[in-house]
Amino acid sequence: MLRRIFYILLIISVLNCNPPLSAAHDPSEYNIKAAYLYNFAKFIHWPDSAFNSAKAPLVIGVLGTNYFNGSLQPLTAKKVRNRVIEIKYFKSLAEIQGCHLLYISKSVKQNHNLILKKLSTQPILTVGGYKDFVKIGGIIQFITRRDRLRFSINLAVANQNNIHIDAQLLSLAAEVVGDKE
Amino acid sequence: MAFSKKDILTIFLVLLALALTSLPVRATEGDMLDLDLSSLMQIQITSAGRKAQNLTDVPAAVYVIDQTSLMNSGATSIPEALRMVPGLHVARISSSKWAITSRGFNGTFANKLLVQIDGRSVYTPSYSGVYWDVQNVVLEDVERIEVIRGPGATLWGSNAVNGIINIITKQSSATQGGLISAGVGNHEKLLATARYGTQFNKNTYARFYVNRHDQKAYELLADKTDAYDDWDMSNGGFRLDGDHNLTNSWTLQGDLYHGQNNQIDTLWVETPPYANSQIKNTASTYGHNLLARWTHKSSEKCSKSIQIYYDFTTRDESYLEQTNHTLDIDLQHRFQLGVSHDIVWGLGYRFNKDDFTNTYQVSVTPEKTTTDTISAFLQDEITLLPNKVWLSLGTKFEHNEYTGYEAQPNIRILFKPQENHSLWASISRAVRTPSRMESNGRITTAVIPPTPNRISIFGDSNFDSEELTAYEVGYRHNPFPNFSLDLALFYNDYSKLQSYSQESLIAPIFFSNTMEGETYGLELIVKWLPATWLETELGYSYINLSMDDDLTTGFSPVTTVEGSSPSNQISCRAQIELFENLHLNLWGRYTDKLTASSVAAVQNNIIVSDYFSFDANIKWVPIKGIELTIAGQNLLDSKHLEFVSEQFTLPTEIERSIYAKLNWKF
Repeated sequence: MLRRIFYILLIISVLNCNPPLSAAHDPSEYNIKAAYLYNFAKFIHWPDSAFNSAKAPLVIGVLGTNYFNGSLQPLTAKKVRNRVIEIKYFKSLAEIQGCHLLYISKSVKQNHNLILKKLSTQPILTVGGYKDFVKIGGIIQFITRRDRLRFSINLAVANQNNIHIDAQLLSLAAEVVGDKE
Repeated sequence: MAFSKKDILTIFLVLLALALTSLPVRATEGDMLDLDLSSLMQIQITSAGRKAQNLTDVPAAVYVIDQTSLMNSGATSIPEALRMVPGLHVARISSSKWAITSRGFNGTFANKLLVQIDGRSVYTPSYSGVYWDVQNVVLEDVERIEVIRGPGATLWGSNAVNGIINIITKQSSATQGGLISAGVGNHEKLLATARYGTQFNKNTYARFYVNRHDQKAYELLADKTDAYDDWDMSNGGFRLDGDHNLTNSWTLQGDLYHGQNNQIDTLWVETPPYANSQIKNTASTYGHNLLARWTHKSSEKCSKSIQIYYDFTTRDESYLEQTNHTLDIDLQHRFQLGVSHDIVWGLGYRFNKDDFTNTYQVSVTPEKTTTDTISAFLQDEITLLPNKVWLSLGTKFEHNEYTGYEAQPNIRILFKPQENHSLWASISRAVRTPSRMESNGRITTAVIPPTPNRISIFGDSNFDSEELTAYEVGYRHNPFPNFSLDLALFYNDYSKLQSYSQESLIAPIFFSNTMEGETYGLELIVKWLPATWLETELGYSYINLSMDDDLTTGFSPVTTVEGSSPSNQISCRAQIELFENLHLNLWGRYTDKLTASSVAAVQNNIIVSDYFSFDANIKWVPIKGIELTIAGQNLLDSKHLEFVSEQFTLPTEIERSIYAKLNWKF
């Protein structure tokens, strides 16, 4: 009898499972990053010349190892200023074409300078997650502060690439570098 | 139709499997895309790393109580949680009084352990020690408690002779949202906490809390009557944390408390019959503090910080009323010099103003005074062989108004022959500076009729610092990711320890520095995680003390120093995850006997027997945000004695405690 009660209690406790005791079900860092990229796209204005037509899609690219797994896929169901979003994965620098927002994976960070040199003056918003990304010419860098994902912006490079960043996005940045005082 | 046991088991397993597969209700990526930027900025990324790892790169005997262990311990106060730390001796004197020490010399006025809460010292300069009843931190908001056994004087300053306890609360960014917690039990009359964390703007977080802890009385050892030691503590406070750019962060925090402790004090009085009157009274405690810290951190190994705090405490008891104002300023700078030098240096200034209201039993003359303490420290960690051998050299210089200049140097070496082996050794010097009582106090110890002749212990302005030279070695090994071992051995050589000189039996007694002695011992911590749902830890400590006194006349505390520490202590804990939402925690302890816990114990022939104690609690999370705890402490016996206080407090037995507690996070 006791054993039966024990089992019943166990079953009840299992069925009631909704466990905040462990952090196992927290969203992964890259899910949040994907949501950030979508939000960045909403606050960035690319020059018309960056698009082939008024209906042309907004292309989000990933250069190097894709740590997002499937996290970026749901973005293709979204629209930004009436443009559909297209996701492209680039293995090498040479493949990059027709891209508006480029996430540069840490797997290619040793080629950082080369990549940015090639992309400079093109209307591409570069986003990265590795150390000193904005200091050395990237436009938006993810940073972790107080266990939360934040970002910093290099405004000078954005201007140079002819990309306009909305003031609201700038105001939410943890740090803005290259801002003309 | 009857089910056989086998059927039931099968049904159970099927249900279990169903339950487990239907478990995770994950927020889909689509959901997250609908969040705006400010919501995304709120999401906490938790890096779950569950490893049986001790601190491997620290050349000192360090133990950390993390938030999980603290919550799983079932402790309702900091002292109870400290019982899990090997090398510490935690003894409860009465409901509101504790004797806590590291590596020997325990007592109500244990004075060789420094305690800090978020960088603020809670060590009382009037008698050198810690009033544990007023350190009522919200345990849910504690990030970790770091305990260093052995001298920490080079970094932390005087009085960190045998150890230092750093209680570190969470940043307010980590305590966002609400928490309401309420508990009740046979001894815990009320445990209540309300905390709310919010974000002021994108770079500023805050939390506010109020807290109340009421405890019932225990019983006296002698006649099992009410010990009249019930007490309550109310406190509240706030903490703000902010960032400025990527490199600057700041903290502003403050607390306020008020407590009322019933107690029976045995005092000598001015009128016949003089002797040991037992006076029931209510001690009143009050305090507040405010701390500000600014840190500029340009990299992991390059930072500057400035910290300022003001702390006010007052304590009004039948035998003394004491008030302390403390202002403390600390500067620290850490930087790299070349490739192999990691340098930290700092400057400190502390101002203390006290005020006593004297009684016949205890007095301090002059009743008011101010003191200044100035200090500077420098420590260089030198990488002798990259990733293999480090040498650390450092010293603290301090000037205090009682003994002048004090230097407290140390040398430490860490050797890591392999990634999972580390060996360390150290030699350090530390001092305990005199308290106001030892310099200017007067404590009545007897009144002999008919004259009456009042015998007292008098403070002596020549009373000098107690000195320690400590020799330590340690070894840590992590053979498997789920197994670790941490061993520390120490030999401590003390001189100029506090003793009491007296010309004749009826002459005044003076604090003197005539005792010296040595202690040696070891502490062992083994952590083993045999399965993902089971975490176990074994702690063992051994200590031997032998003291010697040059005193020609008077009485020496040799017996009580040697007899107030348990030779052997064992702590054994298991944290069992029965289900993701149902946790069971078990904790057994053994504490060896105390042959002479104090002079009062010796006079009354009371030996504190060795005891086993067992705590257990079960935590159940029925729905997200709600946690129900049922906990039992000291389950093995209905009551036991843990310590006999030097003075004032009658021997009191610590009872079994059972409580239920509900935590609601929203």
